[in-house]
Amino acid sequence: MFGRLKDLIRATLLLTVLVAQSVSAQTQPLRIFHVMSFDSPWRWTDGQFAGFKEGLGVVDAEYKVFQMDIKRYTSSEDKAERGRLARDIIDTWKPDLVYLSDDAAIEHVATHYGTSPLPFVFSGANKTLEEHALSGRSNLTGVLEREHFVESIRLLRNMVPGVKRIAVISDPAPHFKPVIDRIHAGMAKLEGVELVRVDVLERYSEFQARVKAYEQEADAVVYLGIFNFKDDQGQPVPYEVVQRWVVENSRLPEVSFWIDRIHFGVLGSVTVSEREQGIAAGKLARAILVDGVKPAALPVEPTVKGRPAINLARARGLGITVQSSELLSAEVVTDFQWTRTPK
Amino acid sequence: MDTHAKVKHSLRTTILLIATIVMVVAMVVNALTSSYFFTQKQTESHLMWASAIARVLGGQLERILFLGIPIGDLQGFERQCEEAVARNADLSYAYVVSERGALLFHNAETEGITPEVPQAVLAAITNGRSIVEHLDDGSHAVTVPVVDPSGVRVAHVVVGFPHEVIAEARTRLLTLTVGVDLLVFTLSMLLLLLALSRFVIRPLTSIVRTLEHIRPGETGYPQRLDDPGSKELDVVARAFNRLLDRLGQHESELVAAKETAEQANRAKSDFLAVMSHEIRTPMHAMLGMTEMIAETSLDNRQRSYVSRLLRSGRTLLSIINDILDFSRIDARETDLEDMPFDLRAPFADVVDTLSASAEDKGLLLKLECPGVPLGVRGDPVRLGQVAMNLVSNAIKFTERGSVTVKVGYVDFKKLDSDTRSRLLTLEVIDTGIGISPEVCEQIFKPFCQADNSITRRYGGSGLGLTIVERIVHMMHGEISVQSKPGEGTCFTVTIPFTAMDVLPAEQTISPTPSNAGLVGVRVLLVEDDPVNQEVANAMLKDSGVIVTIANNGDEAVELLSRASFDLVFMDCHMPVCDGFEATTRIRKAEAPGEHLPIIALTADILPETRQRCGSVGMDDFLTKPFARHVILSTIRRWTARSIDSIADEPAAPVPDSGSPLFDPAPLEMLAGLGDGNDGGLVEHLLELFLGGLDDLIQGVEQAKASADPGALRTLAHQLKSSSANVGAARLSSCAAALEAAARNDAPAAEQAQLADALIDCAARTAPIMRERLQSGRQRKPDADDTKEDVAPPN
Repeated sequence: MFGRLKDLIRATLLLTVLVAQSVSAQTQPLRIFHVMSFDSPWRWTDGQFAGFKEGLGVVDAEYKVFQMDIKRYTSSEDKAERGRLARDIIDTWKPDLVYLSDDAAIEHVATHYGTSPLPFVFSGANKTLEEHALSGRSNLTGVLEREHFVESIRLLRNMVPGVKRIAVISDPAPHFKPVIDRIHAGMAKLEGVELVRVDVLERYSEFQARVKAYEQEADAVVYLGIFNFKDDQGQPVPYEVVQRWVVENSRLPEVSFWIDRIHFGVLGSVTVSEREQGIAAGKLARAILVDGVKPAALPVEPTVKGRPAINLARARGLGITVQSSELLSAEVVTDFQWTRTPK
Repeated sequence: MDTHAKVKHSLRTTILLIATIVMVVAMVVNALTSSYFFTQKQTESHLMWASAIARVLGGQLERILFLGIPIGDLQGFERQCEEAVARNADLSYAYVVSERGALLFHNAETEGITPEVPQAVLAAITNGRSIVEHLDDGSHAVTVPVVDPSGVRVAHVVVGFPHEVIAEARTRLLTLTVGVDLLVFTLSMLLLLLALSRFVIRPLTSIVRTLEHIRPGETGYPQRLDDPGSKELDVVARAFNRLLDRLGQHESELVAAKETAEQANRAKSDFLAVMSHEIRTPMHAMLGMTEMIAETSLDNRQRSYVSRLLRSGRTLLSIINDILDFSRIDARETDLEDMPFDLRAPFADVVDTLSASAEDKGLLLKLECPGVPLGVRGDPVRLGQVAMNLVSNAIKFTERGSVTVKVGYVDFKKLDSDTRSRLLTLEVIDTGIGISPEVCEQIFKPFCQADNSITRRYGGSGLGLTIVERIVHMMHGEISVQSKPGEGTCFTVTIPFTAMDVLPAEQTISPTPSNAGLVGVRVLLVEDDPVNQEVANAMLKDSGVIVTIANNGDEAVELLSRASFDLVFMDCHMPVCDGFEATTRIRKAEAPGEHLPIIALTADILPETRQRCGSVGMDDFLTKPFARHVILSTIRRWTARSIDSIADEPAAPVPDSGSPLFDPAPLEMLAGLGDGNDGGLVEHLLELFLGGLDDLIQGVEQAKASADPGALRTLAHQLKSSSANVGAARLSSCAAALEAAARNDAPAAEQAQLADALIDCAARTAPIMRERLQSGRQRKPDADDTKEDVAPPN
């Protein structure tokens, strides 16, 4: 009789402890560690992060952000060091999920946790997992960044119908190589348009010369990587400087694939939406953290929705009258970033 | 189709027709109302929708303007306009007009067309109106202003849609509504038809069938309505059943009352028949005996008494006849005969009958009728009754002058019949006292004479004209009267008859002297009453008729088996063997081709009696009491021998040279009036006679010279009666001979000879009359002071 009573009391106590632990575990906020390949404030990185939070939904979460800032830490060593610092934080803070934006963070953080149960979600990746040599990783999933080259050229031709010859120019950053490949592939969809040059340059002066030369060779220019040009002293030239020089010196209309470039004077483009990238990554994180889905069960896919954007000041500068249709369907930037009064 | 089927179809059709009309009206009103409000709402809705599109376009424009692009620098917005029109199929156009009214963008520009902005739109923009309806192209448009970032209105977006959009939507709505209405109508009619049949038509048909079973005269109404099955018709059925109960009860009461009334009526008829017989029989004896007394030798006073007795008796008989006639006509018990006769005959008889009365009053009674037979079918007796009443009235109310009976006719053929008709026009004109206009309106009313003084003075029942009017109306005729007091009266009667071209020989008449053609006629009088035997015998003995009397039917039959007779007067009611049985036996005994005229004698004037007389084979009917001239005319009419003898007799009587120039009897009779005191009446009459004699003789001479038979006839007639009144017997005889000759169109030489005889006789009579006048004056020197209102001789 007493033996059975003891067993009952023991089971009750055990159940009480388990429920208490469970309640305690559920009430603690989720820890999410965000590693930015670039820096903040910047539309691209900030937009992705805001989208991630939106995609995750209203979940009680504690965020910690690390900026690798590879615009400034441009060398391989610097990038590796920035990766190590990020991993240190992971190891000490022990987040429930790591969110990586852009290829540098994937390369320098995610690659080091091949067997860890810690889930990794990425966005803004120009390279595929195969290109990152991460295919088959069970704790990794994310969103690929796919530029809207064909759509951007069509938007450009709507604004400037005479565009037939296109030149592509980029710095040597490795994650633009797949982009150039995809541009080549996309040309097949552009009837009457010819890709006359693809230039990958390191030095800023070469860039300037090449851009000047394009006025004879091409009708429009596609700008990819412009973060890693070196001046004559070997120092990196800030991309805002590069972009302003183009506006002030190039008479050719141009496209690029990111909204920040439009603010810095690119005529127009169907941009990759950093917000859509972040929202898609956030939904993957929610599936993992809230719904308990394994990362390997969530396929890596690009976002498909681009966002037209036009810089009306650049259009005026080039003497282009933008049709109402484009103005109404695109995000219109009326001035240059550098003309705005800092708040 | 029977009645209930008609009721059923008619009621159902009527109700369905009414329901159809109501539903059709409702549907039409519904369709029109729906169409009106739908059009309004559709227009409002489309205007709102167009306005929303215009605002979208305006918003796009403002968004672009917000980018700092002036409206004038903007390009390609026509694509937005075109896109708006393309995406909204009901839109006609979308365009942008500058504040100054210049067209900036238009959807049609994408096709290379640049339309003009309607003035109405520009006016609306200027006036700040946002809606423009019914433009010239039939469209409706809305305008939305476009403002730049500084708030300045720089343009207007105009979006329009065609009215056909509304019209097509309305047509679709109407088609749908009409389709649904027709469906509802069809179903409603079917439901109504079923409901009507079940709840209305069937119960009503039951009511109608029950009503049809009710026949006039039926009693009891055993059938009753079942419960019809609807509340309202339940009430009707119960009320109807109660009505049937009451009707049945009332019908029984009415049948009982009718039987009682018919019994009473039969009793009255029987009473009338009995009374008629009972009164007429002694009256016949009284009058007959009185006539016989009058023909005996009497002194003046006795003759006067007998004359009064005779007149009073005849008056009493006339009144009784009038009352009985009126009661029978009023009870519609009088049937009209339909037999062929000469239309002139009743009037000739009447004139013949009343000529003596007229002569007695010194009146000239003239009959003017066509000289050829007028064959018609009708009731001669009743027509004669009409004439008798009118002429006797005229004589009664005429103191001096004349009474003229004019008989005319008009032949015609009715449109809808092949039968030829003959319209009698009878005028009885007198120169009597006349009637005032207000009295004219009353004289056909029963028991009414012109006034009480007339009743007192002239007597009578006051029913004569009422009977005349009713008989005329029974014959589908008309009677009217025209009169002036103191000048005379004219009664006009028109009666239609069926014309006959050929009349039986015995029905034609010929002017026959009242006492001619009877000599040697063998008459068997079958009469049980000794007084009546004596009366009839006395009436006939001086006429040359050979009378044999039988006391009953048996004797008559026995006599007829032994001897031949030309005519039988048969009393109907006799002991041993009555007239009906005797007639039957006589007819049975007759050989083929033989036919002995048998005339019924009875005081019973009921039609049943007359019918019975006809049914046993009697030929005619004499109602007791009858006058001598009536029985003589009857003998004349029914004896073929008399007709033959009429043809054999001379056309006119010759002057009776055996008559005395002066017969004092008439003057003695006049002298006997007024308790034996003539009061100078005789002398006065003689003066009047002698005063007019010369003129009359002069007129006769002139008429003779001019060979005018009409004038000779008139003058001779006047002289005949006036001379007879004063006892100038031979002169009267000469006048009668001349009148007859003139009437019979005797040869002119014969007429001239008779006229000469008349003139000669007058010349010899006048001194005698003057002497008589003189001697009378000498006996009554104061006679000139005593005058009476006596009609002068005509």
